[in-house]
Amino acid sequence: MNDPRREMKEALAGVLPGVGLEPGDAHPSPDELAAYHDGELPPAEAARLQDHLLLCESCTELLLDLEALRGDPGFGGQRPAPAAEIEAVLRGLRAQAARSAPRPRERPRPGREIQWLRALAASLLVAVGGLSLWVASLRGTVGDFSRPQLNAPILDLSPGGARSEDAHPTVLRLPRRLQIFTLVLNPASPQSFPGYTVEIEREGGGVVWSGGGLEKNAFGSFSLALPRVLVPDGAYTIRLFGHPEGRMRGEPLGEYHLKIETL
Amino acid sequence: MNTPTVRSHLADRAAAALEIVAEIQSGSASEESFRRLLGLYYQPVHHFFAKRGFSEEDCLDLTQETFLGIYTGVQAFRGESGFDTWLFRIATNVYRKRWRWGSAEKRTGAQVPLAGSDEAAPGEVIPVSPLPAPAEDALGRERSRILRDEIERLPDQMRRCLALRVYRDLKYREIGVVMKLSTETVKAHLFQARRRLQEALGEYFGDYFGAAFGDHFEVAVRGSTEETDS
Repeated sequence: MNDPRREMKEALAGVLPGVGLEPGDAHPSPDELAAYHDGELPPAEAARLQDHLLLCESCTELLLDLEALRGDPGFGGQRPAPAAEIEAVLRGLRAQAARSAPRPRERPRPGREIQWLRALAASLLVAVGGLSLWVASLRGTVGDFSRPQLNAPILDLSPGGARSEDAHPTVLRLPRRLQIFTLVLNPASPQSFPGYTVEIEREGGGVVWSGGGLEKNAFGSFSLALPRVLVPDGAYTIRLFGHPEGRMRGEPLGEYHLKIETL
Repeated sequence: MNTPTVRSHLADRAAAALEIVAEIQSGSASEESFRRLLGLYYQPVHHFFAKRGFSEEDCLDLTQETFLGIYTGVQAFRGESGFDTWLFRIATNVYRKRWRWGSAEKRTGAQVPLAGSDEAAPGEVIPVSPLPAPAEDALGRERSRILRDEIERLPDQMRRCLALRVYRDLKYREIGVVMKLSTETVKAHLFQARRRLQEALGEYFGDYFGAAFGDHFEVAVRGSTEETDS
């Protein structure tokens, strides 16, 4: 004996494919359901939503609840809400209100974009200030070099001791405003070489400068004009080398110890 | 179905809710205002979750979350859709959020549903094979085909009403809500559907459709206008 209701269900499922299955498309939003209920959807939208309702038990239930909420005073029962449960909800609301209330001592923080712009502005200000000072300093230096260096000292140096630690440095005291002075290096040996180099090393600070192009003058010595900015106050060792033809490595011609001080 | 008294009661409730919301929006509301709102709507909201199978503890939690949603979103409420509809939206969103969360938790959990279990989770439809029942013999297959063909000949609205009635066991009034039809129209559609099927297939099926449509339908066929399936 067939079960008529079951047989009917199966026949309906064959006619309306998808009936009883989870609908594939997304569920309508509560707003759409409410609009459908109120007859506010365009016909095509309403038809699409009705198709969905035919398949979706969950959305049908929601629609029926909306109907009941609006039209059935018995939805949820007629008895009053339990006081304890109302108090529990109110406690939650109080906590929420406390969380969302502005904190009195807390100043509103600027947005991330504002903070970033402020940082950029501050950096630019510092950079502009630094550049201004540097330009002013350069101007002063250029101005000093543009004037004659009056009474620029010339210091005649002879090679020091064989060992650096034994040598007593020659002290050179220079006026504060002086920008340049000249050293005369007398080699330990009169031997001539095709090329000469010199190296200036600051005590404890590495090589300040080294280079070639020196030429022995008529007196058998070498002159070296040094700007003060290159050799500020401190102790220095200057080494002179002669380079034989085709050799990179030079032969020491003299080592000079010098101490510079500002008057 | 709604008497003037019922309509008046619902209108009063909605008006009171709008009054309270206006107080909250203007900043003049006290805790007492919210207490009144809870008094009006706590039970419907709680019932909304309870009928979806949540535990009592979860119902309390979800109800609280819904009222928190009202509290936090009240400034955005413009009253265009009515308080009840707005409340429904918030409760539905809370429900769907919890349902998604619950689904995700189930997916990551170790529990595996028993094969063949026909227990539906909230919002889930129990899959039923859309194929005709396995016919034991050629006669059975023929019956199914004839029935399907005849249902297919029914007008679309009639067929949909029939599906909601037979498949979902919805009441006439509920079918009306879904189909945007009056209860009387739904009854008429179902009456016509049964009559057509009976006329076309009575020779083969006998007094088959009374049982297929359900006992309640019998009353409608006999001309009763009462909602007998409430």
